[in-house]
Amino acid sequence: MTDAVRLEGVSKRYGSIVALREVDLLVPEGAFLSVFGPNGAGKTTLLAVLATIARPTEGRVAVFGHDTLADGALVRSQVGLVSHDSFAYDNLTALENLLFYGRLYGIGDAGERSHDMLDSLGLYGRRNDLVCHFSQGMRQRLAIARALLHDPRLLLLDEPFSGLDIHAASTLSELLASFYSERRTVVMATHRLEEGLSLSDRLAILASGRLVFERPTAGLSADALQEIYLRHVGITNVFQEERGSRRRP
Amino acid sequence: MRRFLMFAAAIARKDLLSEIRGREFLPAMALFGVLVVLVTSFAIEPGIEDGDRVRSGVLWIALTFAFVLGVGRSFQTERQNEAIRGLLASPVGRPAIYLGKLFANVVFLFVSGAVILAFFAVVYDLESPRAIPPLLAVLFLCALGFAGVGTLFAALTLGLRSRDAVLSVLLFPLLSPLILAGSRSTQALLAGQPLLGQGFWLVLMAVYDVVFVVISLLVFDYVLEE
Repeated sequence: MTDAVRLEGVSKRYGSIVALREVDLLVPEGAFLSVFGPNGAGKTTLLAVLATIARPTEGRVAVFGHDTLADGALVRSQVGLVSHDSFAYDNLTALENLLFYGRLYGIGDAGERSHDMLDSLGLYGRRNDLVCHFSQGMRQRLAIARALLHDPRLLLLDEPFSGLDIHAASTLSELLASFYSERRTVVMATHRLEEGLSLSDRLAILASGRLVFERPTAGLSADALQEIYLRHVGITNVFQEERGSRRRP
Repeated sequence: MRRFLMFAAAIARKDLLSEIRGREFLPAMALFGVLVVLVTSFAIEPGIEDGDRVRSGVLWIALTFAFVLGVGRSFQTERQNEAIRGLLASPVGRPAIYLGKLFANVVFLFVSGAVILAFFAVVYDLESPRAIPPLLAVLFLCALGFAGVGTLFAALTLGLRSRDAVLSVLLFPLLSPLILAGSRSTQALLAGQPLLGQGFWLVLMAVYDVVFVVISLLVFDYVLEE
């Protein structure tokens, strides 16, 4: 079976800031990987590199066996990306946004597909409303519709639950479970340990740009995950250092 | 090639539709240019010596500032909801993104320039209406050059906080040949000379347009790097 994602010694620097440090990662096709880590750990950069939005400074990235630098367009046609921003245009309607992205992905039946996606995400009744009038939850649902429009083999999710109400979060969880059940691959960056653990079959922890932990989720409890997370990310130590520094004159 | 042009057309269509809905771009450019023409008209008397040169200068001051204002905003829609990342994550090649934005910018600059030119013709009582079509041709060549360079640099400064100031500093030196050619040919056209007599300036503008559009297409892949 081809690996959905293969990273070999991937580093990404923005000037003097190192966002990723020599990351090696394999995600088998059909897996659901949750990537945990604190703010600034490099989760968003990892997804940007996989989505070919950012080029790695060092190392090699392959998606379904295709090099992201050499076959960027081919890789992008097989990847869907959901971020905490919707990537939607405020002055276009929900339907126009999807039709626009449908054209960019060369979808033949973009109209029908857009209507289906809007229907499945509960936005069909608002399809002709401008996105500037949408709530954060509706924007997020539109973002998911956009990401799934071209039926991607790999779905990249960056904090997809942020800003969602309980109903929308539950709809998203169902959608992700359905997507995953079709043996398609998901890589999700999130802060939410329990949500990530319940949805995924593999997990990884990033800290300061390094992949510090990776394993299947089988047999792992939420408490055990929290303990592992704190141990690798070092939150406790950070608090202790902060308290210590305050005591200094 | 067909797919490349289809992608570019989709992006241009999206920008035009977004502007028709939002009216964030064209009215600001046209109004800014119209105000410059109006304010300068208070200071310039009708019978002024060397009037064609002065009027041409006024028109090009208005056009230049309006155009720079316009191209500076050309990636504003892509900043909404980080839409630029959606574009970059799509299979569309980055040169197609440039070409799509260029098409839309040429339309915006030409339309706003035409409004400014029409107002200029009324305020300065343009003697010969026959000068208008050749002036529109000059306007088109300049709009293409402004948009060609402006789209590239607007993308380059997309992530900067002080992008408007940086964009102006970067653009004016690069645009000076185009502004010179535009203002000189306008001066001659206002004096009643034929368009074909402006061969040197027209060729300069056309070459400038081609060179900068081609260079921009070649380097745009690296400009939009995150």
